[in-house]
Amino acid sequence: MQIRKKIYWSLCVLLLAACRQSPPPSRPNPVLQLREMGQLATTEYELSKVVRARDEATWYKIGERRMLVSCRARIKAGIDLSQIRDIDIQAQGDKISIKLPAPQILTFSIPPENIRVVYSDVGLFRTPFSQAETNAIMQQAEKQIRRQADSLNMLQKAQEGAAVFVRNFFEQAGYKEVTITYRYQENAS
Amino acid sequence: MTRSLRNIILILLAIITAFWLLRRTDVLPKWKNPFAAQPITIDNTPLLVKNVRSIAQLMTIEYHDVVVVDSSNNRTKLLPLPPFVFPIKQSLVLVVKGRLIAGLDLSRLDSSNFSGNRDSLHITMPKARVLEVIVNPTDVETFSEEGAWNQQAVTALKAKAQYRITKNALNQGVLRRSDEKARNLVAQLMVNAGYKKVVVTTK
Repeated sequence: MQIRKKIYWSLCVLLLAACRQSPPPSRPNPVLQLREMGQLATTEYELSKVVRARDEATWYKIGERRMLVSCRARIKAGIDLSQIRDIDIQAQGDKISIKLPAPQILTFSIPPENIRVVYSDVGLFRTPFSQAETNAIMQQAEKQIRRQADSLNMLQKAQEGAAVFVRNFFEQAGYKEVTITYRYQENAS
Repeated sequence: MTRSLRNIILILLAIITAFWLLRRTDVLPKWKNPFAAQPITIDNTPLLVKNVRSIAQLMTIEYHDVVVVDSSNNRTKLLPLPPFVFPIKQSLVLVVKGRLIAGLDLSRLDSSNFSGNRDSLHITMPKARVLEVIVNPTDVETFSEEGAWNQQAVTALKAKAQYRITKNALNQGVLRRSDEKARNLVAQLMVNAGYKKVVVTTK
């Protein structure tokens, strides 16, 4: 009888211990539907990649599946004109000096029409790649492209392009001598 | 005998319950599901730079939208055995988060677009247009999929989503606002550059 009582008590204690507060579900950050900005894109890179996907690691699935997807991505880089403050512009007669903000990647895009499945090989006992699986492969590829694109020196190119555009713009507006510098270069020196 | 058997059962029950509770409270490590499918391997292939070009796009409005697009059809297939005709349902439902960028293409701006004197300036710029509708793979969620879908059909469905996002954006007056923002931005820039009176128009 005593053993049974002990068991009941242990069960009660265990049940109480099992009660825990579940963490709140993660909510995606709200995004403003319409946002005003002032970005000047000066360089566009078109990148190409062949994505190689293999599905052969699951032990109980007989046969493998392979897929080759070709895709092209477009990346635009430039400067944020809305970050130019009035103290960044010094004009004197026909001369003007402008400090531009640091260049940045502005948009990254893999247009759907630029994704093409070029080869697919599915084993006899396997089901073809579903659309959801193909999209999951492309999501991985997108992350890879974003990582690899960092090493392409795009910002340097965007910086040069921005300097050329801003110089031409102010020359066309009537200035004879336009000096362009970058704010971050000044901070570094 | 019956009593001791009952005690054994109770003890076993207590052990099982304790084990289950400890698993629930993450005190005991979870066993790996031996039947979990392994993820698809994506090889790290090289990235090729196809083209680098200079552009001059003033991006003034960013519009975000989420649309649901679907494509479905009911086909019939002939079977070798009765009932001979077998209906096949095909449907694909995508939830697409898109981003539209509106702005001005300033690449053709030249000295003919500028007029004025030392203190006043008049700039004529091209009208705002939709520069890009971005729908990346990470922006697409496959909500439901029945039947086999080829890549062309999926691309067509995503194009439908892009069209809908553009239509929604235009209904919200994105181009008018983009025009307005561009005019204000350039005018402010030129005022900061020392001009007393700046008029910016788009056409």
